[in-house]
Amino acid sequence: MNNTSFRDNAGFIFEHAGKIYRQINKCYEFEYEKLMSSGLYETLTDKKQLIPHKEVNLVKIRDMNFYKYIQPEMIKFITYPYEWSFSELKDAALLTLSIQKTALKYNMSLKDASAFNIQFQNGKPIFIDTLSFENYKEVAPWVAYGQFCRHFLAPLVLMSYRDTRLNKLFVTNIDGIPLDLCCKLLPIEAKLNPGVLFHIVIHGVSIKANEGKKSLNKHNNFSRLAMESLIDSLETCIKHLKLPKLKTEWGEYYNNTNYSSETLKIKSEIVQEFIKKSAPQTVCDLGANRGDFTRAAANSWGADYLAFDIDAAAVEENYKRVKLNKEKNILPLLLDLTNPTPAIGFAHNERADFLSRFRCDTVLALALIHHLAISNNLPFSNIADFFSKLGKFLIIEFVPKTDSKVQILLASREDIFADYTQKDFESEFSKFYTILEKRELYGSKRTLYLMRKK
Amino acid sequence: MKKLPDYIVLILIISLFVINQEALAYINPGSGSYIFQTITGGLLSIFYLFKKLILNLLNIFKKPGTKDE
Repeated sequence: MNNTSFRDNAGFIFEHAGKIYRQINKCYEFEYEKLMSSGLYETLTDKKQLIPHKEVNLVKIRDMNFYKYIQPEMIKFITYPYEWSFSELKDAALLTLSIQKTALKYNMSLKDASAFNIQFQNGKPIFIDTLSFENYKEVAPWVAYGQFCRHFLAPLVLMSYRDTRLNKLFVTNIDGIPLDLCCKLLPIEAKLNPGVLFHIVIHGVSIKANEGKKSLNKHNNFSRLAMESLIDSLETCIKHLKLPKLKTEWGEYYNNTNYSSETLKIKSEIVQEFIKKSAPQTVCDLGANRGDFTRAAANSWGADYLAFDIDAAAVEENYKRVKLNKEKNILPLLLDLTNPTPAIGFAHNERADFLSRFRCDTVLALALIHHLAISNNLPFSNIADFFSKLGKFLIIEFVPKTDSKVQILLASREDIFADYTQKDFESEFSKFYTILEKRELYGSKRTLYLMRKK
Repeated sequence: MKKLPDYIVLILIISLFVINQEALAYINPGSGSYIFQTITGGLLSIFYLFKKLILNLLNIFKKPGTKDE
């Protein structure tokens, strides 16, 4: 059984012969058949909102709860909401609401609204939990409303009104940010937003106030109109949430760079050449910033590109470009390389860590080494070891101490980095890699390397 | 649908703030959201219908050929 699906009694995900399948249990037969026969599945898959699947026979591995096996279309990389930018989370939230609205038209409803049910494929969010639909009961409130607010609205509101880094609260709250916590962190002006006041503040107080209530049946008087109103209200609130203009070091990096336009052009050409030589199907661009070099590589070589950066403004900008250009093969994600996403959940076994999800053919590490080695005191050997676990080929830029950007890093601290030399760099990386090519970057003191894992 | 008097709506909202019961570990965390929806469903519907009415009125005065989002 897959680690992510053991909480669901409707079925579970498992891997068999290198492929991903989902068992549907007998208890979910009615809902599954309704999803398939009502036209809802067809509508959602046609709109590319729900992951398509095919029914398959795997005779030997049936268990007593078995009803059917389905084989969903494979998602290449599993990502989590705490790795998404504001707009990625916002699009995922709006997709969930759109699916709920469509489901209601077919007399079905989402029984959960977890952000983990959304993944990114071809530059867009897609709903992956086929077993999340249930029969809609006309008088019942939306059972997933609380979860939707914790998983989507609370982090979005915190990012919009307080700080974009607050989506990391998801890591310590696997079932979303509790509304009372969100409320405590919000500034007063956020609470004056009618949607926030209603869905976060009053809703949060109501949760606290009703913690002792036992029977829910007598409260079942929630009309379809009320359900539509609730969804519309959430949608309006989320659509109006915006990120304040972020001005950070990385968001403005290329406006403050020490490269000339000619050097940038040459660097881009070398990266493209090295990418072609490594002939990857998947590329991890570490420290991708707004994705300028990711895009240059993607334009010259068709592969799937994961563009990681620590800076929320850069990842946000990159995702906006993906949407603007309708790019299908670049996925911008948030990542602190010095503290990569950990495994979380029950027994550390529900949401996987960074290294077990992201293995690629080629790793791009441009203008990154000095931040890891000097800003974060990481030895070359540890960096090389980590990169070698990620991918077979490495395209890396060495930035010497004489470079103005390194001088900035050293300006306010003692230079304890006697080993930070090109010779030591090559020597330590050679323990893990064979250096295939080395190019000095014209107009700068930097060098680009193409390496292959030993 | 019959509209609730304003003072009742106000009392309902204020009561949400003042009612405070002891937290119990055995309670389903979804209960509060469930009950909240049933209490506020009517209010939401009124706002929704009002919003639709305004949008429909605006559409009447819109130039022909212009489309909604």
